[in-house]
Amino acid sequence: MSQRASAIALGLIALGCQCSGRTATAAAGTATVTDATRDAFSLPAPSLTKEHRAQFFVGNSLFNRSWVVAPASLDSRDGLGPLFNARSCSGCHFKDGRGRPPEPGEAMRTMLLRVSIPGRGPHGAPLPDPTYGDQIQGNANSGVPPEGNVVVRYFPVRGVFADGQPYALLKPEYRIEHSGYGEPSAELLVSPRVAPAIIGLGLLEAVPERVVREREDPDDENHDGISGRANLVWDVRRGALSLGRFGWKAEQPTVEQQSAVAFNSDLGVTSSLFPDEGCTLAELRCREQPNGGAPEVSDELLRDIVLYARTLGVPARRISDEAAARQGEALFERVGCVACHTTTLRTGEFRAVAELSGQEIHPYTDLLLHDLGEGLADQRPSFRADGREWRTAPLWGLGLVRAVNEHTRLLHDGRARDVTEAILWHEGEARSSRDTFLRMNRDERRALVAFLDTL
Amino acid sequence: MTYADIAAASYGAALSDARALSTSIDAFVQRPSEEGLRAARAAWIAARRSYAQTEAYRFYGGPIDSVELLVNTWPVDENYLESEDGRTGIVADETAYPQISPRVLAELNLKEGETSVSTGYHAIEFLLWGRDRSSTGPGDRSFHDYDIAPHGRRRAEYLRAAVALLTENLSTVAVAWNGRYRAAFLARPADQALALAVKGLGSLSGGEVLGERLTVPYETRAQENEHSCFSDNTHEDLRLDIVGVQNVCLGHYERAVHGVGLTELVRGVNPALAVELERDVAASVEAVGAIPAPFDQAILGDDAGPGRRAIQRAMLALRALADVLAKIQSTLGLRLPVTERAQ
Repeated sequence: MSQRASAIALGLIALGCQCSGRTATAAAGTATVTDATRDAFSLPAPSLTKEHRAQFFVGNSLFNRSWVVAPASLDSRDGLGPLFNARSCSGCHFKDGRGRPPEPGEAMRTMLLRVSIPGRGPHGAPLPDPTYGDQIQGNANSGVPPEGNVVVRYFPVRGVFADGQPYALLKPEYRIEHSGYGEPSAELLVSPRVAPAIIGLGLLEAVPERVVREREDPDDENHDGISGRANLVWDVRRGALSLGRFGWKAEQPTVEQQSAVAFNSDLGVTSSLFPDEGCTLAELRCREQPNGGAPEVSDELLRDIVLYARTLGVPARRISDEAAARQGEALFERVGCVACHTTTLRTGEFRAVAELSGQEIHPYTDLLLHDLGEGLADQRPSFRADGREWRTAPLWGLGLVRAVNEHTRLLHDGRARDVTEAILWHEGEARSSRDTFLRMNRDERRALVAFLDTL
Repeated sequence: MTYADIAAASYGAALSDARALSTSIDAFVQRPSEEGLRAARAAWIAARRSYAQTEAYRFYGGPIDSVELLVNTWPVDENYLESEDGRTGIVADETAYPQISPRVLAELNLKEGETSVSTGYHAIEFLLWGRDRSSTGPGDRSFHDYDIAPHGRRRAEYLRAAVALLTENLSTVAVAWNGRYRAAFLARPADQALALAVKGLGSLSGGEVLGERLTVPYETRAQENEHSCFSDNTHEDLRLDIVGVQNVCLGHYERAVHGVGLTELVRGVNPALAVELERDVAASVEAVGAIPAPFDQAILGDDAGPGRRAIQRAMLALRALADVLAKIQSTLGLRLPVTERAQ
């Protein structure tokens, strides 16, 4: 390109840009980022103040770094374990993105198995297993037996679209091998959980509770077949039941508590919110290990990580085939997906990060629990969520998981190999939408998937 | 377009310097000696000189972005390679990894999170220098780590595999910028190509260098957050990153390329903005270059000390540069291509 040609091109663009206003591709108001590369989930919301931006980068470095066994010469990052799933936050949320189930022969790395026994703990929390606690931690510091390896096996579930096109889904089954503390109880309840992408969390936290609860319809009084319910979970800092917003069953009320729980359960790192190592009475060696101070992650470091997790921007939509995307969006609405995957919410005043206040956002979630049927049920209740209920998963960023994490596994346990399979697993309240999907012709199905791919 | 010419020349230089590093490492591990180690370290620093200037071509799904995680990931959790007591880590674990090949290292890279780095410049840096416990200089690993020390041969095997993988990856990028990617880039509408170029420069100066490489070590005062923490080459890496930005703005690359730079293109549309860009790039090169070495000492002490003051000045200059690049993006209405993705 010659100098003149490019200068002319620039001139044209300069004229052309006068008419460009705000586009429909902004996913999260001023927290929208324009990036479709591997870094798409890793960028700060552009609206952050200079101070928050600095804190964001510090939080990012903490999120990425590996923790080590105590005692170590690098005192600020010791405290890993004794039992743990990962050495760093980024070990599961790689590039701030989504985890996946292991390939055959591979260890489970970016997902884990929650466990409990029948019954309810305080405030409705799951009742931890006396031996294995509330999740299987497959790694341990030297001298401590790990809890076991979680192995997945898949069984095909076959079906046919109305137009005759066959499909095969994968139904998972989990087994704990090499269990370190004896055969797990026969009544153990298990719930596999993939690490979700962590974009836009502060925005979801900033949606006023009233807005979320307005959408509840526990007895389906409007007879649309959808009965969203809020989860009410224990808020450790407030010492009260609060609206659950985060996690596959909306089990955590705030980004702070979600982060502190993950430190505690996934890394074995204590904080002022969760000061105890997660060793059960049966795990004697675990209880004897030295710790990395009390707490192991200071309030200051936790604050930086929480700011980081709250302020990751949400990628703008990328629409290359406008017609298909528009057709797919119309189908998404008509079929009833929007009854739970709420297109638009508005954040309220958010004191923790004022920059996230008052934004129109498109998360495609209502943050409520819905019965998704027997096929997806984990049969493990948690607070108000029963064994068939899941929180509507946000869909923003969906089309970029492949670019960021090099896979397209979806749903809480990653069983779906692509968007189509994820839709096909929806039953319960979503059954009639799923059935309509089964009746669509190939072009319509393709358009719906094309639309979801722009998110 | 000059941009593609500079990119091709820059990666060509980075590749040939990485090959020189490889030759130097081969010579060293065949007959470990003090001089051999010194020569390999010098070759690493020379290789960084050319590579740092290519970082201006990152962050938009270009050829480097599909291999960058294998090439220049940092910070390295050195315990992943070898623990302090030498008993755990990839080097010591002969059972799990009986052979250390480029493929094995590539598979292990980032397997346990974003600091479990097993490949690239900074893994090689650790193998050449070791942990830096000195307040005046870099790490001082002994050349005996490659002969009589425990796992000496393993370390040698590791070093050779790591540098082989590095040259292989850089070679794919250099080839792409001389061939297929270059053609595709030049075939883009001018505004799209410019949007990519400006996004790359803005992400490097305002995100990577200002945020991750300066703000984080400044705020945490922690050596673990220093870019080239084993060799104490951080000050040069940072300066040359911004020299890379300047290359694109001036349309120059050392002696190899003289053409039309971004500044000239901007001048054709908005002369005032071009003046700002010229000024802020020059100021950034100057301010980042003024950060005293070693960087791990410059971040310490109180904010009025010379090291921290220099870093503050560099951060201000880079903020201004990132702002002017953002202004160029909006004033010229540069839109990124819709489907631009990392491959």
